[in-house]
Amino acid sequence: MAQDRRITMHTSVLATEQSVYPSVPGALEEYDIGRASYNKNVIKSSIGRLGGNSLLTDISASQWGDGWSSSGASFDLEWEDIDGVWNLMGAWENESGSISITTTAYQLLSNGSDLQFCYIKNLGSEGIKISLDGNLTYPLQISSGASTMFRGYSVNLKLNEVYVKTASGTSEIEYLIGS
Amino acid sequence: MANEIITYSNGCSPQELEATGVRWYRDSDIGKKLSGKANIAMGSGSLVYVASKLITSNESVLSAKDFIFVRNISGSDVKVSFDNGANFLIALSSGESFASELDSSVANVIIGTDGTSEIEYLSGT
Repeated sequence: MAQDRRITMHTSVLATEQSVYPSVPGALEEYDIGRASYNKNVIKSSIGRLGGNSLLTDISASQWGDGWSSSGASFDLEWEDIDGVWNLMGAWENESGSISITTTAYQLLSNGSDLQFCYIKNLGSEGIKISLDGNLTYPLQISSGASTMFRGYSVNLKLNEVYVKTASGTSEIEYLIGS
Repeated sequence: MANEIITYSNGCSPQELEATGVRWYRDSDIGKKLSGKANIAMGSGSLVYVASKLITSNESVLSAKDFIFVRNISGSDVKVSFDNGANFLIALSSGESFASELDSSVANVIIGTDGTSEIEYLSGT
């Protein structure tokens, strides 16, 4: 059991819109320095950059097990487990921590404690959907490469109510879920 | 307006206090920071941004959106419902943010509070 735990959180949201930059004439004697018109995404000045940092201290020092993260620690390997040719064992490689997700609902864990924090990242190429009510509805979705994170409200969200699936095909996720 | 793109990222750094209680380190169960990022092209809809709104009940309704960002600027904890207020599942304490894409099945997102809160939100379709 850890002495104590906390999680720093950061969210950033940037809204942009496409602007058309006009062509620039620039014909010199020997060569052309002109530029054709082009499109560029620029920050919407009316919105700007949103988000910020926060610190979660409500998470319990004693989690339900080391598996509260799909990542695992890269240094929790046991020396005695390494009994072959080291460069063939793969033991020194970081664990990817990824979980394969299909159209079949995947329950992150079966523990029924209140959810204090959950982070899910889509490592694959297919979008994934997230259920917060035990596989009944899937209100959240995450595109390839994106992640989301949230805290449970009061006692309304349990650890075992978080499910993940794809709309089609196969994807991969990494996650952190704690009470 | 068309041709709008939202770039959003969420990241966290789980930390663990070492046994003597002096310093915080990366959590030894995880061993790294976690983050993800994506660019989401909005459809033919529009972005709705509210920089500051004072709420005292479940009164902010965002209909049929593809993306939502909510930040609790100050005040009581904010709660978020994805089923028209039937169940509030996500909490945001003062200073915390939530950003995610939404499934097309979500008809209404309701942002509520049990007290008085100042919120900021962005939604896109």
